[in-house]
Amino acid sequence: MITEQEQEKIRLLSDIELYPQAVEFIHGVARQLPQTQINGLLNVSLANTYDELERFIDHQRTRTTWRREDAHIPDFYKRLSQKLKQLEAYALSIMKSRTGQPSREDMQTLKMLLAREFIQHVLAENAYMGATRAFQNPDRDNTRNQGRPQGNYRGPATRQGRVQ
Amino acid sequence: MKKRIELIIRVNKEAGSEEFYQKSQDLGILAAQSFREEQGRERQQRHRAQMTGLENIAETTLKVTDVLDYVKKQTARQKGWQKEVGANKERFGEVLKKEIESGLKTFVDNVCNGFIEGTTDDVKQERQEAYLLLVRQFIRQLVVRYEYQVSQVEERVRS
Repeated sequence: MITEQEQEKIRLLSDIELYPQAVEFIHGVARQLPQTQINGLLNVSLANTYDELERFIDHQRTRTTWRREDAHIPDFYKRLSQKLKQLEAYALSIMKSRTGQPSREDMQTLKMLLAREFIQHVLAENAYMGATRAFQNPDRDNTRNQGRPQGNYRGPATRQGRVQ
Repeated sequence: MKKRIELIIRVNKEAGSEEFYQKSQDLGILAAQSFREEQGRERQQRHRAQMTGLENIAETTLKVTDVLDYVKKQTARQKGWQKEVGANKERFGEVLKKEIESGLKTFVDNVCNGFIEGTTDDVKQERQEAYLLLVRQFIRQLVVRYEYQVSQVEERVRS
């Protein structure tokens, strides 16, 4: 159970530490993160546990089936994984104020809350940089079309349209 | 309790200063310019919703960075937020982000000088609260100016 006092500390950290770090983090990424990745990462960070978030990041980092234009994504996840490890130090410092040893569950919850704050700042900056064309390689800033097939694709064939 | 009352008084005083007021008015006018070119009642209502959304997030959140994240996301999503307007070709989203990130710092310093000082976490939290209260005041004033500006334009169109 995270106390109100600990939540206040998380908010403070989010404002004065995590926000500038997230901005700096995304500035080190060559290209905008596609919308599909934003949705995936946001969903996992909002609905899952810290262990599951770590598993998701690890999976994306080690995935080998990226398209050529998505070659920067594994590096993003590699750096994110390292960053989240660094953020764990904040969780330890917040937990220091507790008298007893915090449970693993509380520790994981706290880490997740910090990771969530960081990821939300990262994704907001990612969207902003894409819109203002501030990336180093802005050749792929139209994320709305990312992940969609190229050319005259008109959606999946309907049942009626298929050859019987 | 006494300290909190004093904080509110100090924030209100700072928000009423000429420089602060002028900044919020300029941004309200910029918002109206950014969104007014969109024609049709439905679209105008949608832009009102942009201002209401901004005000809502500022009033309900406990973190300044939630407001900043909202500004960034809206800038990425909505054309009006990134449209270049006026002789200086300013973009509403960009200018608002800059004001919140750095433009309001002087006013936060003015509120905190001789009142909230030190380096402990408690002091930092109080400073953040002063910052958030100023952001809320700034956005309130900006939205009111936006509404006034839009109503003036509508009045002119009608007459």
